[in-house]
Amino acid sequence: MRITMNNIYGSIISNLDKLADDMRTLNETISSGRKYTTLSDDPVSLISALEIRSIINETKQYERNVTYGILWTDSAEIALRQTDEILSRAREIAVQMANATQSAATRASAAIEVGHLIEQAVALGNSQVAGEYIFSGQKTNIVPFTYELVAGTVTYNGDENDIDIRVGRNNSATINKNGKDAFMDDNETSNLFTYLIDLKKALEGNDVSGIQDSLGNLSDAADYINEKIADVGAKHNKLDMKKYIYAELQLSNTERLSDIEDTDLAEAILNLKTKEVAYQAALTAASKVMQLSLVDFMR
Amino acid sequence: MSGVNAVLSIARTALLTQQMAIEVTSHNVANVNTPGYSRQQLVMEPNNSTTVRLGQIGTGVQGQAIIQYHDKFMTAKVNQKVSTMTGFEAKKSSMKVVETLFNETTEEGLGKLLGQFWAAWHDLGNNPAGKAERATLVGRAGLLVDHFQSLYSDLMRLSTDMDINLGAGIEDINSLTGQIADLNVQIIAADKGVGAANDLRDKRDHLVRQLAELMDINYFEIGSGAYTIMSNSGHILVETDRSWDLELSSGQVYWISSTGAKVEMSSGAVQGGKLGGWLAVKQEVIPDVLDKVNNLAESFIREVNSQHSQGMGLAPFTSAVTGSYGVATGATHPIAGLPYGSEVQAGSLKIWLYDAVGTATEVSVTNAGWITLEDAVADINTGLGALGTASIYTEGGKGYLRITPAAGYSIGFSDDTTNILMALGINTFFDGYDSGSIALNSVITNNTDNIAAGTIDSTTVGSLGDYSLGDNENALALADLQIQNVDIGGQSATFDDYYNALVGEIGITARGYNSGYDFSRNMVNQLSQLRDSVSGVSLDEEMTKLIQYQQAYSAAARLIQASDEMMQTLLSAK
Repeated sequence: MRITMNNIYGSIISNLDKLADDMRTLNETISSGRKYTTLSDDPVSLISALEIRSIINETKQYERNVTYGILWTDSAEIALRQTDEILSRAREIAVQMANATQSAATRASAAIEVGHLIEQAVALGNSQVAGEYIFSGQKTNIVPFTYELVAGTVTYNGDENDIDIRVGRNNSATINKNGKDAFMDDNETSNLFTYLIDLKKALEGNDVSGIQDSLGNLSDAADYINEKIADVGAKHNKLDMKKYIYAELQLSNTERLSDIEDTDLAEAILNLKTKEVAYQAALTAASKVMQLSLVDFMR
Repeated sequence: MSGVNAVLSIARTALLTQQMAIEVTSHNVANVNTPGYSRQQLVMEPNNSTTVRLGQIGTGVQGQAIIQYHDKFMTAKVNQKVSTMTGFEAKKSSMKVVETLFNETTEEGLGKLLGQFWAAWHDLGNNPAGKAERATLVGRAGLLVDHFQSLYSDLMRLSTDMDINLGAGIEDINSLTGQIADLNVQIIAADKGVGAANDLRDKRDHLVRQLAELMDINYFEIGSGAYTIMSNSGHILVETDRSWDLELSSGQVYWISSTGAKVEMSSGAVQGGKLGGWLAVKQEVIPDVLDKVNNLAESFIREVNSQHSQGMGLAPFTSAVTGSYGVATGATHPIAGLPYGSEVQAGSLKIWLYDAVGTATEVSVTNAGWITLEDAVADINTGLGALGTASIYTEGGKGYLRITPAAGYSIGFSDDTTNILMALGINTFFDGYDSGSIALNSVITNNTDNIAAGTIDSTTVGSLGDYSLGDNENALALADLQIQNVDIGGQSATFDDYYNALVGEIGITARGYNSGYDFSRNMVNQLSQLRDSVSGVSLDEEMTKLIQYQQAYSAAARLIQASDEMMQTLLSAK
């Protein structure tokens, strides 16, 4: 083939252009840390990266929801455990005061303590998480339990609805226990509050048989509360398990994403070096070719 | 004639001819970098010889012609590939813009914003009464709306840019075809006298190449030396001394016939060249992408609004509720005229009216074939009785349905199986119906309490009409839309899937254009190399020839000297 100036310079330019473009691409993948920076660089990987990324974001959200649920179940569990302790203390008082040796005066002072216990139990029933009542069903803005001191009654003001959160695709978890179920055994006339109030009345009235009656009732109530603690605890464990799973998923998906879209630095730098060498060689060769001209030899 | 004078005469032809050859060589050297230049050469031939007794004797040299090293076939091939290359180049550079709009590799695209929108509903589900969660949701929805709108306006701007490009391209084409027709005339005139008009031909070929860069053409040389040029679709552009113009009107390319009639060049008539690339982007790529973005926005608004209208904010509406979608006012207001009017179906909805102390009254309204807003108004009014009134509120030539509760009453909605609330824009989240018109419903932006995270209890006997702040059922149902298959532009897909597919498609299209460009550029380079190897100037070669001719010139000068000496010898003979 006849070689002309256009051939020589044209191929020098296009070869150098190509090498420079390759170096630019490699440089970009190294400095951005990504294998591709535009959609067209690798559309197929991009689509799987987008899918993984939306899974990661979804998992993150479910993890957030689960954390929120744990906050609620945790608070409910604590409130119920403390209620159990109140019931134990009430039983202790009842056992002590059922003893014939106790006087009316000591029973009256015990009645004051039971009064405090009732208030504490009501306060536990009115536990809040971030300003919301956790035992009032969906009426989270309404105080679930009100204690009428004079009438000696505790009324439930919430509803019996569950609060569900999403903990996975098509997977919900109930994170609350309405107060009527948790504290009142769905029975507004005989429950731990009425048993405590009965005890208080019996102590005030120095009524030994009444005290003995409430002893049995309080044991039943304690059994019931323990059942509820187990119930809430089971929910809590389920959420904990989910949280653990999501943390693991998050990790493995992030790794998958990194495999797809992050630059393999060692490989990229090696490639860049190779291109650099090629570029230098091309420059050297070009300068040699460009120096050659018959004109230089003409006198 | 022979003798000393003959030597002198031969030397003269040699001097003149070698000088001319040096001239041609220097012309080559001078044009070494001229685009489209084909190297020339003086073809020499011996002069007619004279017959002497011994036979024939030569009388020197003469130039026969100045020829051009030019491969017509190769040039046509290069021009053809140039059209393909520039077509891909135009598509590629426009696609770069589209790619940037959908660049999800930086995580700042619509996909990410959609994800954040659903996450905000989850957060609201966790704390349905939360002011902060409501504000965050509105903020994120606002970003999403802005992004949809900017996708729309950026795509429209790209389309306008294409119009500007097309206009400029067509002007260039018209000017090029005019110049080529002029050159045709000059070449015919020049060829008649002294043979091939080499430089004019080079100039014309260069213009043809520029024309090929703009659009795909077919051309051939007729006997007189003129070019006839036609578009790929057979519309004639240049014939001898005449050229035909193209014209752009409302995004379409027209060919102007001799009678001045406008002939529309069908889509696909111009496929190559920058013009073909721009037309493809304008007529195929942009409408396709915009269509898909609009489908996405349309379904997104529909699904979110449909679910949202089933719910209840923190409190019922205390004043009149007006729809956000209107129908042009005429004799009646047909429901089919609403953007989502076709979604309205038979069914029923419940309207709840709360008196001052919060006691709820249920009003059930049934759609048994509503055609117009008036039909719906009549049925709602029958249901409401004294508790409120429905009416058509007219503004800006459009009628909107409005429900006004009676004094002291407030109003809520539930269990709408007719889709009428969604179609009217009552108790909805978004306004608009495509990516250009999408907006947040002002009812939501004015008061975030109106975000319907909860629902009205319409089933539990004893608490009918109850609503509570801790109710998150509607928020969760909205968050669940993220993973549900919905109808988007006739296909069933989740929003994420549909959008990801769109992004992938754009990436693949752009990649196709990039590799098409790379491939055709390589072809053009290779063919140009072949063309240059025939037509290009090699300086070394020209220098060699220069020396060759120069030495011949010196030798001719020596001949003159020799003949002069011979003369001297004769004249000095005593």
